Parts: sequence; structure tokens; C-alpha cells
Amino acid sequence: MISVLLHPGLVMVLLGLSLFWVQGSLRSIALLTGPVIALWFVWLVPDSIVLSLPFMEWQLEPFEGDKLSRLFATVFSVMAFAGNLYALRQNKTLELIAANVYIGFALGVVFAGDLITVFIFWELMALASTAVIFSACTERARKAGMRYLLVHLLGGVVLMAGIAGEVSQTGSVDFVPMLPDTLPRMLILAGLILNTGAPPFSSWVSDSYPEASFSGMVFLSAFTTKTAVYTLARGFAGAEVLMFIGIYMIFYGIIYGLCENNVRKMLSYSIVNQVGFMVTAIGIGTELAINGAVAHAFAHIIYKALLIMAVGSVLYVTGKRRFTEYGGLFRTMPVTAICCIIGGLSISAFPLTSGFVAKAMMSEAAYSQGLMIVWYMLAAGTVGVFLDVGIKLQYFVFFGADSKQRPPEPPINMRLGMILFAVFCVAIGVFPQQFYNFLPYAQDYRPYTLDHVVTQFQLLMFSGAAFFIFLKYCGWKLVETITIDIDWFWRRPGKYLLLSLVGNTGHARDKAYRVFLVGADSTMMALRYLHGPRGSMARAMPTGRAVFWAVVMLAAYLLFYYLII
Amino acid sequence: MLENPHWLDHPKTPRNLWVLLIAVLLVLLAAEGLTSDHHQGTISSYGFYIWFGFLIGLGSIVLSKVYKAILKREDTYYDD
Repeated sequence: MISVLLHPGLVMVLLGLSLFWVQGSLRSIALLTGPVIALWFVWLVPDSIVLSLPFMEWQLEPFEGDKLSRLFATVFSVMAFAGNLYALRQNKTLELIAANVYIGFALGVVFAGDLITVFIFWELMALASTAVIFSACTERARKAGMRYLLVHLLGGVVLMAGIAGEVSQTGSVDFVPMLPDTLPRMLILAGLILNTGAPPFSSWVSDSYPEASFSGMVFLSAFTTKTAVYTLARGFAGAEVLMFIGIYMIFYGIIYGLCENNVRKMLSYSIVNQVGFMVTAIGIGTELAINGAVAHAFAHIIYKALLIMAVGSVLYVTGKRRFTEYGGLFRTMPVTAICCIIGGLSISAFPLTSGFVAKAMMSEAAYSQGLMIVWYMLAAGTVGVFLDVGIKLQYFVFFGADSKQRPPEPPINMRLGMILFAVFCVAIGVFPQQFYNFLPYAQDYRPYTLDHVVTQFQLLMFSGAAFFIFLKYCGWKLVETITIDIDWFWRRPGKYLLLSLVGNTGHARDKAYRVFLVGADSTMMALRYLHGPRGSMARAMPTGRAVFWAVVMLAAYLLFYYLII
Repeated sequence: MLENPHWLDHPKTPRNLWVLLIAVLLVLLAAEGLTSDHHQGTISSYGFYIWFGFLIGLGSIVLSKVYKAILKREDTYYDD
């Protein structure tokens, strides 16, 4: 039986913590070897419970493996390697510590066999990922990190409430497939799905991720949303509500992405868009759909990281982040441009790329279930993301109007990180059957048929033509604006309402305090007047005066007595 | 010192790229006859992916422009 010390998450957490002390070239060696060791450990995990612990009246299973968890853990480890390679020159050690610990916790969720362990690692992930955002060390990052943390803590509370209800109803903490048919399960689903960027809190992705450093966002893009996809695939496959939520996410990401001027914010919207595909497929729930969702998650982590590495490289060498500040960068950044284009082709599901072989399964699953509306939505989503990331991003950053900037290529480690993932994108697209062998369910799906290739090219090329026709005849004016999102409700009216409540409460409190002070003051003055050093009650009296008053009192008493009797 | 112009900067390049795009579209239009899609219903009808791709592409762009016109704010809107 494998020892618990061989938990891949533990390797990543220890790697992260070791960075407090390890420096120089040893740090680079640690950053590159740690994920390789974690990957090795991932493939040692058997299809069974590795660790079982008694906790109160339950039996926890904090380390359990199967094909699904190993697949996610594999891509997480690969991502950790490429991310660390890309970030080798990151001088903010805190970011690297937080990022590697964060990956360790994500692996903790992936190998968790019970709901309590899921919850613990879930919350630890939220804290570690917030530290990744904070480590950009800017005021904007600090504020965005706080908003990110608040949303995730809210999700954590909802998740905990759901888990507590589920455990009390069923008496079991096992993380098993379920449907949102009871209130606790609905709460569990709500807590999990918040991390995918689902409505109404979709904006947390585009609000926080772009504020991380050039390398921080590479890490952030891969783990939180995809860990949520993993938990949904394991726990809520076939929950119909996920189809509606997923389709909303697809179009939310497309429309906001097309509006956006901040390049990394646009890529954040496209994370929501792509995760929407996965959520929809999980809602369909068949074996082909789950395979499609999982394959898409795997492919997405790689091509999205590649895209974020490419725009991170542009940010790194130019210090700029908006479309309005870019243009014509292909002249001096050809490697970055080519890698970005490969990422763009992959996310758009062009044949011979990873996106094509992954997305096809989800569409086929919708068709085979007779879900034609869903099929149309997935096809439209593919068109939309091609316009967004496949064309708009590439055109306005690397081509388009020349910004006259001639920045150099990024350092070699950043280029190698991009090249590695560009190769992966193409390799998965060219050898799909080898990739399919790793999926949770056995299948005989063949993506490369003449029909499929031709129709996919038709879909993409004619939508691309629509973009360039629009560009030529209507123009595409880039402006330095933002597009407000649902978070406007709590960042503007919500904020003012809260401030006003706090303000009014403050006024009432001040008033009460003033009344209290005046009352207390008067009481003290009265006491002082009567009992103070010169107060009549505390004053020393001559004996004669005391006798006089005693006689007066006695006389008054006698008079009173006679009058009554 | 003047830098050597990239081939993409050549004045004729945009025109050539348009010609290339139109050629590709024509080939794809012609390829429609080669397919015998196993799907049924509207999506197997002639040229479905062509008009669907074009209309959804155009529609998405127009929708995003309308959306942006309504909901755009200054870049510094939340900076206080």
C-alpha cells in the first residue's frame, strides 16, 4: 500500500514551503523537479482508498485515487511544471510559494474521497490563491484580492452548510455522485459551482485574475475553475440545471470578451466561456459528455495557460495591458506571436489542435441525446470564442495598427514554457486516440472524419470572414473603457447603501452617545454639587447648627403628630 | 537606421490576404458537396455551417457593440 507521504499534493506544498529558504539556482532546480516528482507520484496512486482516518463518528478518506482524479492530477502537475518554468525569473518569492502550495491544495481536492476533506482543501485553495493575487503587490491587486476572497469565503460558507446538511441527512461524508434534489445538495452544488465562474458571481474571474502578476495569472487560470469542474464531474454529472448555467457562461464570456479592452481581462472572460462548455457537458451527463468535459478541461488548462503566458510575456516586456496600447508586435516577438496563435487556434477548436478533439465529444453528446438547442449553443459558442481569442486577441496585439513598439522576446524560460504548451496543443490534436485512452470512460469516438473537418472549417472560416468584413466596412474602434458587470450592484449601489447604513448607524450612535454623555454629565454635576468637597451633603457642619436642625425636625414631628391625632 | 520592412507590411499584403480568404471560403463552399454529414435535421441541410457561422459571427459582434454602448464606463470608473 502506498504511503500517504507519496501524496502528490504534499510534494507541491513542501516545494512551496521550501522556497522560503531555497534560493538561487537551487530554487530553479526545486521549481522544475518538484512538479516532475508530483507527476510521478500521481501515476503511483492506485484505483482505491489510500488513506482512511477516523474523525468523530465518520471515516474520512483524504487520499483516494481513480482514473478521473489521476487525469486531473496529471494535468495539474504538468501545468505546475510549465508554470514554474515560465515563472523562474519571478522575483516575488511569495507568489511562487503561494502558487505551489495552491497547486498542492488543488491536488488535495482531486484526491479527496470525502466531503470534509474536499471542503478543507477547497478553503485552503481560496486562501493560497488569494495570496497569489496579493503578491502582485499593487493597490489594485490588494482590492481585487479582497473581493476575490470575500466571494470565495461566501462560496465556502454555502458549501459547508450543504455538507453539514448532507451529512446530517445521510449520515455519510463520502463524496459520491448525487443530484441537486435536496436543499443540502443544492447548497453543495451552489458552493462548488461558484468556483467555475457561474452566475451571479461570474465577474470574480475577470475582476481578480488580471490583477495578478505576469506569471501569477498563469497559475490562477488553471486550478480553481478546473478543480470545480472536477468536483462537478464527480458529484453532479447529469444535473440538468448545469446545462442552463453552462450556456449562460458561454455567452457571458463571449459578449464581455468582445467588449473588453484589457487583454488579460478578456482572457479571463474566455475562461468563463470555456468552463461553460464543460459545465454544460456535465449537465448532459452521459459517458461521452463527461469524457468531453474532462478532455476539454485537460486541453483548456494547456491552451489557456499558453495564451496567458503569451499575453503575460507581452505585459512583461512592454509593461502595458490594453488593446489600445498594442499593435504590430509580431515584428519583434515572432515566437510569442506564433505560440499565441497556436493557443488561439486550439481554443477555437481548429482541426489538428487539442480543442478540436476535445470539444467535438461534447457537441456529439448533445446531439446524441437529442438536445438540439444545446448543440446550437455549443456551436455558437465555438464561433464566439474564435472571434474573441482566435481573431480579436491576435489581430489587435500582434498585427493591426502598428503601435511603433519594438519590444524584445521574453526571456528564454518564458519562451520555453510557451513552446512546451504549444507543442502539447498540437500533439493532442494530432494524436487524439492516445489522449482519449486516459479519459474516464472507454469510447470509440473518431474526431477526424471528412464531414467533421470540413464543417468545422466552414463554421470557423465564415465566422472569421464576418469579423473581417465588419472590420473593413464598419471599423472596430478600440476605446479605453470598461463594461460594467453584475458586480456593479455590489461595487456601486451596494457599496453606497452600506456606507449610508454605516453612516446613519453612526449618526444614531453618536446621538445616543451624546444624550448619554449629557445625562451622565448632569448626574455627575448633581452628585458633585451635593456630595462633592463643597457639597451640602458632604460639608462639615457646626454642632449648634446640627442641634438647631434636630430641634426643628422634632418640632415638625410633634406638630404633625398633634394634627393627625 | 531604418528597419527592414516585414513582408506583412508590404502594401499589397492586405489585398493578397483578402484574395486568400475568399479563395479559402470558395474552396469550403465547394467542399460542401463532398460531405455526407451523419447528422439529421437542420444541421445536415446544405450549407448549414456556412450561414450559421457567418450569421452567429456577425450577430455576436453587433450584439457586443450594442451591449458595450449601453454598459461602457470610463476605465477609471471603479478607482476611488
